[in-house]
Amino acid sequence: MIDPQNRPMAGKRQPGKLPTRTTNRSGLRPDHLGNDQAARITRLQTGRSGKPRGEKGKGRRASRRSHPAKVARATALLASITATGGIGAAMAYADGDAETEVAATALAPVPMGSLTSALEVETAAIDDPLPKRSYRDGSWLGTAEPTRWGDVQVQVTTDNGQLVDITVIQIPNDRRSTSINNAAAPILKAQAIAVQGADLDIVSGATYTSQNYAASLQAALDQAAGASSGTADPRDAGEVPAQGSTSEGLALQS
Amino acid sequence: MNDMSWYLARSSGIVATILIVAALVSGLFFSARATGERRRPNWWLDLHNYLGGLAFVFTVIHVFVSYRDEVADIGLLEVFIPMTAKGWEWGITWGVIAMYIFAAVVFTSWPKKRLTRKYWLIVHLLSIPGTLMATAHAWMVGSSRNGLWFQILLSLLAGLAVYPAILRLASVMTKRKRKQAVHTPVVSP
Repeated sequence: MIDPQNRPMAGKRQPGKLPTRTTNRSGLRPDHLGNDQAARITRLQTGRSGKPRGEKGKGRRASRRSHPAKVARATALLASITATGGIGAAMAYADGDAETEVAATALAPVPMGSLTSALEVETAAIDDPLPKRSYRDGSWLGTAEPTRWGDVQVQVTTDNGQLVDITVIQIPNDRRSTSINNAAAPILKAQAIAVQGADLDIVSGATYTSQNYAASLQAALDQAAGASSGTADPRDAGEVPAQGSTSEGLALQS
Repeated sequence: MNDMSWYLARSSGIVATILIVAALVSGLFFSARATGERRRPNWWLDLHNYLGGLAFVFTVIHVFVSYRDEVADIGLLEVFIPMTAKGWEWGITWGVIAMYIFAAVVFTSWPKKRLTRKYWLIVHLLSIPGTLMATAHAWMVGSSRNGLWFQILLSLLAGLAVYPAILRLASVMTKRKRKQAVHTPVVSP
């Protein structure tokens, strides 16, 4: 039992002399405590290291805090770095895979019959380098061709039987696609008007846009040529009244 | 190199979003005292702090790499000032504001709490709208936004955050009810 008479006169200060702390926070002298309590106080004062608090090693070691979730922290860091690399690589691989497919399709062996007809077409094209195809006058909406970044859809304007203008109605508009398409679309437009058709060369770096642009253009031209039965979806493609309709969508600057 | 920076910008953005949601979820579980008994609360707090810091680091990487990507064509002005990205005003703006919010949340808590508890809590709670803004940014301008996997991922993240948010809300309401019960004097008839 602790004798209350022995409680120190805490807080009393002698003039000209700083008080010396001889008690713990409860105002009890350690020598009046039981063994367990005294040991606990000593442990609290010294910490695990056995040295008195404030006298631990100096510098980095002293400022280092313990982190209970060390393993979880390390796991989170590793997982994050791995995920960043992995997702990026997977995206690159998926894109590369699609590019390979495109290349494979382009290089696929062609049956002899179709090769002959292709040669005939080529010969005809050489004889008449600028084919005079005749389209019905008006504005014609192509199909919306999906890509993983968004749809590509064009609208063509024909006048005097000639393809005279192409307006992009939909095109992927994320930051990078915009940058790529701004460069590629005018080239594709110029090509299409020059050949008066949809047999376009793929613009380097804009493979998907080129392919889908050509597909949508082909659908629009099919309608203009009067062979509209081949279009995929009547909601996506159809004749558009010539007046005022071309103001919609993203007009291309060539 | 261009392609690499583009893929890195995208993947770091996705990982940053996941980390942001993870930090939010762990914080909500911790503050709702619903972390279970397997781990001590200080373990959860430590994990929450670390995930928050890591999320901010990945956000910085995402912003820096996007800025460095030549094809993406993002300037310093667009990175730091909202509504300056032409044709992308809102999409980029959500990302910029979210970045500022996360910076405020991290630097008012680390290396030590710099504000009084009331103001610190207000700043800290801003991380909830910040997470929503980051998700909106991903949804609006992410190059993968048309991919099904990306849409599923974002929906999953949103779903993951809703449960602890409701849990936290319920704990706040219970606390208030208890306080009211303590302070209401019992009137005997």
